[in-house]
Amino acid sequence: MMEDILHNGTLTLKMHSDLTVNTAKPLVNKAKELLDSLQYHDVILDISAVNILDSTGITFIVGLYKSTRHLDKGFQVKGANPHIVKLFELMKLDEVFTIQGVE
Amino acid sequence: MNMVSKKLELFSTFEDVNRVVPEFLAFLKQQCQFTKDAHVFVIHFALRELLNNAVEHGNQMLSHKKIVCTLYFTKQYILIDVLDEGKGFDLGNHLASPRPDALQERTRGLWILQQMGFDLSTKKNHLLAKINHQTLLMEA
Repeated sequence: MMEDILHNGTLTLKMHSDLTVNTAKPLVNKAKELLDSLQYHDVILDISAVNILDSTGITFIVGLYKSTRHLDKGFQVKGANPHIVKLFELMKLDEVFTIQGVE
Repeated sequence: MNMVSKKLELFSTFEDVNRVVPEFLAFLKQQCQFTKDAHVFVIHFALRELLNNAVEHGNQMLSHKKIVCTLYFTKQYILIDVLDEGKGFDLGNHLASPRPDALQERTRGLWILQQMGFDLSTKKNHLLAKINHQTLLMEA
């Protein structure tokens, strides 16, 4: 499940479940609709409720980043647990977009 | 400590993957030395990648086809053995040493497992992933 919150031009997509092949695939179209229809300048993907992801979940995040880049919007990931931060660092995704760990 | 193992069969659906992964994690937690969150994360990630790979690539998403996953636990290592009904595949294409483009869409799962410290190998239509406890500790 993904909640969308638009506030002061920032679109926050808040995940309420893990990001695996079961959950991420159905979100692709919903995310695309949101990105195409709303007025915003930055996107924050809040994954503070995500305990585990798999490569499909990573692909979902990379796809979101690519979409926002294509639309010339900002993108960052917020609330990643330390294991997910480490995974992103392993893949050098931290050099592509901002990844904030759990506060 | 002798080797202990747990074997589960599943059909080739991601829902079935979701069903068996917690069972394997519960089994590992019973083995006492598996207590840190980082260890759980690494094994959890590996189980999902290996089983998803078997569903999607091994058994081509044909839900009636079966997967047999056996998890072995010894004092030295953890070994995950995933058997599907596919033809097997060449690991070399997945484990090429250069890092995959961070933004590529797919085929990064097995590379990540290797970088996490898993020793990956294939034997016919088995995909084997082995990690020593010492390596796992370093991941923590």
